[in-house]
Amino acid sequence: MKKLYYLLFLFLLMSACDSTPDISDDFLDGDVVFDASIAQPENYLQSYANPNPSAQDAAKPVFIAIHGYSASTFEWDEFKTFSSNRTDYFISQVLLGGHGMTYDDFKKATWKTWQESIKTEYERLTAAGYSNINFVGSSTGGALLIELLASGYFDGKIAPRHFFLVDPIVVPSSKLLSITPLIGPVLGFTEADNTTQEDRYWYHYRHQETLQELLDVIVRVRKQLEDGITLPTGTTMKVYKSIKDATADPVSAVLIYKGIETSSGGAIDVEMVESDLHVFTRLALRSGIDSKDAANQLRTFNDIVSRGLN
Amino acid sequence: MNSFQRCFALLVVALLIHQPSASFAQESTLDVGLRIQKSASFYFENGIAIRYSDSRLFSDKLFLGIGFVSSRLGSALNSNAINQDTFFLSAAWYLRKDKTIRPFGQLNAGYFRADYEEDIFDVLPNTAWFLSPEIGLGYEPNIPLRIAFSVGYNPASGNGESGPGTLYPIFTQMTATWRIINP
Repeated sequence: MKKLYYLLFLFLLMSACDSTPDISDDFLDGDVVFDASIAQPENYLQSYANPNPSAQDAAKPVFIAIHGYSASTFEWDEFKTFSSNRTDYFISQVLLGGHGMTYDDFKKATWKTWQESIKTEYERLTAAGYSNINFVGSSTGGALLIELLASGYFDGKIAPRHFFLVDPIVVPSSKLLSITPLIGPVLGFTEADNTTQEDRYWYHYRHQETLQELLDVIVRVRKQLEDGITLPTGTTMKVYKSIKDATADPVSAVLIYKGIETSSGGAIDVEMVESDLHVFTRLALRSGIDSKDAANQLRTFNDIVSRGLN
Repeated sequence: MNSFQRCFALLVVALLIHQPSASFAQESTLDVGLRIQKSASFYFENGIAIRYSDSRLFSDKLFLGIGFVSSRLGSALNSNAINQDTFFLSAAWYLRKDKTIRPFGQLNAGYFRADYEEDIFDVLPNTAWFLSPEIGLGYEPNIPLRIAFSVGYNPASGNGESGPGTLYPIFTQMTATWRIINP
């Protein structure tokens, strides 16, 4: 009998450690659905859409929009739609490295891989002559941008004019993430609570190694904030943070506010938004959206553009 | 200093000046020392811990204590980390009386408060009452030094929708105390 229990225990342990989920072709994780920016970068990245801008276009603001962990360029599609009639600024929707492809591609990527595509687009734009660069980052996209600032990436380069962070994550709402190194190898992967449609734009399965990468980068950013970060001369930052957020704990805004100052020693701007959505600027494919959510989105897009044009 | 902090300070003073009655003095003990606490993937919070074992009540097995840890004495020292304080009462049960290595379990009941400083963050929860269990090992050599290592769990941690966001659930701690009564 003891032997039977032992075998059952071994079986359960092996099942728990199974790191090969059953991936549907309808998921972003599979090898059928890919982020559209991979096939048509010219529709998403300004550096591809117009690599040889006129002097007039090169001086217009470009908003480099960065999505979050396990998401895709879809996260900023509504900002693109909002801006569709505007000719006085451009939007570059960057797909984070390792994202938008298969589960295995995602699993293999580190947070530095995620960050690489932000640098690539920034460098392509500045090399092409664009001089008015602005960043818009949501969730982990915000953390990756803070990491670029803290690590001195922009030193000696064209300083970005503005950083806009929407629900940036420094403290996770699920504190279980903090023990991923311990429980991750047993879990193997976790499943996201996506709708069928969302599964085409967000990974359904999150391998524990990707969760460890997420933990690594947010712990690193937290420590950078504790040490203090100074924005480049002339650069501003505004954080928009939902007051309830099941993914990025709202206290992340406090850490960012305390940890970043302008070049003259001033405080950055923070707006605590009456919302319970994570990345409250993305309303598409969500259920239960009300007029307040739509107003939050519109007000934030208007504020980002208005500040970016100043 | 708010009323809770005043009560806590009074409790500390009361425990420190407490003298066991003469007939039982030989077995009642009072240990005072430092507590170093680290939340998993988050802050160091350090402070003080006092524990008392009465000869009339499971002598040298049951330890009642009080403690205070703060990021002000840890991660927030000379940094931008958030200042946060934890006050707690504790009851610990130690096994293997008179042995050098003693497994123990402890239950803490206390109050957590984080200081977000700016009015704009008043919309966020920053306080919590909590009950947190710990299990660990004590090291008790033949000198008045007592060292305890443990892992604890605090279910009152924030989840983004309620509870303070900088209160993390899993922590490890080391307490080093010196027996100042009945060495």
